[in-house]
Amino acid sequence: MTALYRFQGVRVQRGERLVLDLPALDLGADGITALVGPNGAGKSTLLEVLAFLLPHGTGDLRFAEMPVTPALRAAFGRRAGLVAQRPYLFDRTVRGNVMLGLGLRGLTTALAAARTDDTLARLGIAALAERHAGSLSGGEAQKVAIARTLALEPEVLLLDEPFSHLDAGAIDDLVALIASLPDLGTRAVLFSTHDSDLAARLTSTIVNLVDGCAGLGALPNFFDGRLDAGEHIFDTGRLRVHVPDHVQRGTRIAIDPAHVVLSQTRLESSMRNVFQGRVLSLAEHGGEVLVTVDIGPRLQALVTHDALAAQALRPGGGIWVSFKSNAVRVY
Amino acid sequence: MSFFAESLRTGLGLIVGLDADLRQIVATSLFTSLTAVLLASLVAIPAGVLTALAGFRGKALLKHALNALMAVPTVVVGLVLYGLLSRRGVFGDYGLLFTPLAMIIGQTVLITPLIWNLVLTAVENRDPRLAFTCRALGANRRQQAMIVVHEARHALVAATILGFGRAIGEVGVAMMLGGNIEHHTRTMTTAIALETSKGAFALALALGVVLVVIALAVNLALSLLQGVRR
Repeated sequence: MTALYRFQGVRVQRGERLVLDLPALDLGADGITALVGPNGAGKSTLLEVLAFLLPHGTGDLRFAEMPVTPALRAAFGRRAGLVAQRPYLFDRTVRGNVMLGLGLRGLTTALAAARTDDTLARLGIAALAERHAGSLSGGEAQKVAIARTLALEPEVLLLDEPFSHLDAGAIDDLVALIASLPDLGTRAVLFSTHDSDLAARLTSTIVNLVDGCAGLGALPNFFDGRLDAGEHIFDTGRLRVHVPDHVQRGTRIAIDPAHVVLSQTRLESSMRNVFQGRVLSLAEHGGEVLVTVDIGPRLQALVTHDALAAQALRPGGGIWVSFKSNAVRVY
Repeated sequence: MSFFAESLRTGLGLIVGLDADLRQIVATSLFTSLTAVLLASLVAIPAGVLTALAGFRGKALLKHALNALMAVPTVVVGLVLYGLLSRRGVFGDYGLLFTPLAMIIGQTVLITPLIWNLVLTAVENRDPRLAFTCRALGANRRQQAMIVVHEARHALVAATILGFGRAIGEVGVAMMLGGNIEHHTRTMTTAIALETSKGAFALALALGVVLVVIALAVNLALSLLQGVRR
């Protein structure tokens, strides 16, 4: 599982402003990746760089292990497909929209028509084929825009805020569609969103973007598994985690690292999740220390420098890990 | 019966009876204006698209000039061209004055800035997401221009229709360059303006009715186009 993109010392400026600062970042692993960050964090700019529509400024960017140069950008651009935020649909039918993109690549009409029908069918929107683009709902338009790009068979599909301006039903629909894309043959899917819950519904590979800097996902402790709603226990296979009583269903949990308590001895407290483990590593993260603990699977805890000094944490040392059931989010 | 009602009745009779004079006048008008629209569109649509897509020095000046030209009274266009086409003018040797061709040239000059300006504005005001989407789909500059033209097609047709409306309804150019010569350069507007005073009020009124019907048809076509856009 290698990442398609490798950034090294990439800095992108818009005028005087530094919009992206990526000293070292690998992106585009197989499957789905979410880029999470507030508006203005540089998500759109990053996606344009990933789509090779924008030069990557200074620094080194590699795509499929080849350096991205101005001469190669057009060729690489055909391997990456970007669906813009609030995509523009051409003033023609849905079929016409998908056909147009294929026509730009020089496909014959017959070939383009076959590919169009196939793509619309795979995405479950064949019924929209003859509808005029102007008559579509927001969710339908988003799907058509995805079909239009997907028909070009990119290795990596980039979606800029695909869920913005959609109602809850359309969001559920689109989540299901995006989740199915890796199985439909798209090697890597990257999407941006300001909503970390939506990101978590689709993937555990999350990259946080704040002020143009990429960071570790805000919720790195992801575990897939099965919920026992009667016992209020989430079973990951290796861990049995107490979850809040009101949770009825879900297949993935995230444990907020800031709410994970580390101690040298077993704590007698109201915290229902208590595990014994071993410290694997310590790393500085945003002014605090990210402690990776092995409790069967790996779990990360975010502690202050003061707490670190008081606990005398060191790699290899034994440790107790505790967190309340309401520090667990279920998706 | 009043003079007006009597004349209207006679006039409608001319229309229903497809009066030969009336037919010829309407045909001259349509031929002149349609040819002018065709020629003007051939120049103004490509020019409008190109000047909208390209960034160049003097673009603001061009837009000001087009706006100003749209507002020039038709008689002034007629006057200037009269000076050029008359016997003593630069193009006097061609003997074009008081021919249908002179009217065509005049109307073409009159409506070219109008169509150019409308096309330029329509293409410039296209959705900013369009260009980005084209690039994201991998369109080169030529393909982008083709897509933009296709997206703006309703606006292009609308500009042409408005140009036709202005050409068919104007008097100044047709009068000064055509001269209202019977069976030759007599158009609906010049006939209405001049025949009335010669007592042919019923014919003028019939022509007025035809002109109003054409104006209504033009407006209907425009609103149908706007309906398609929605």
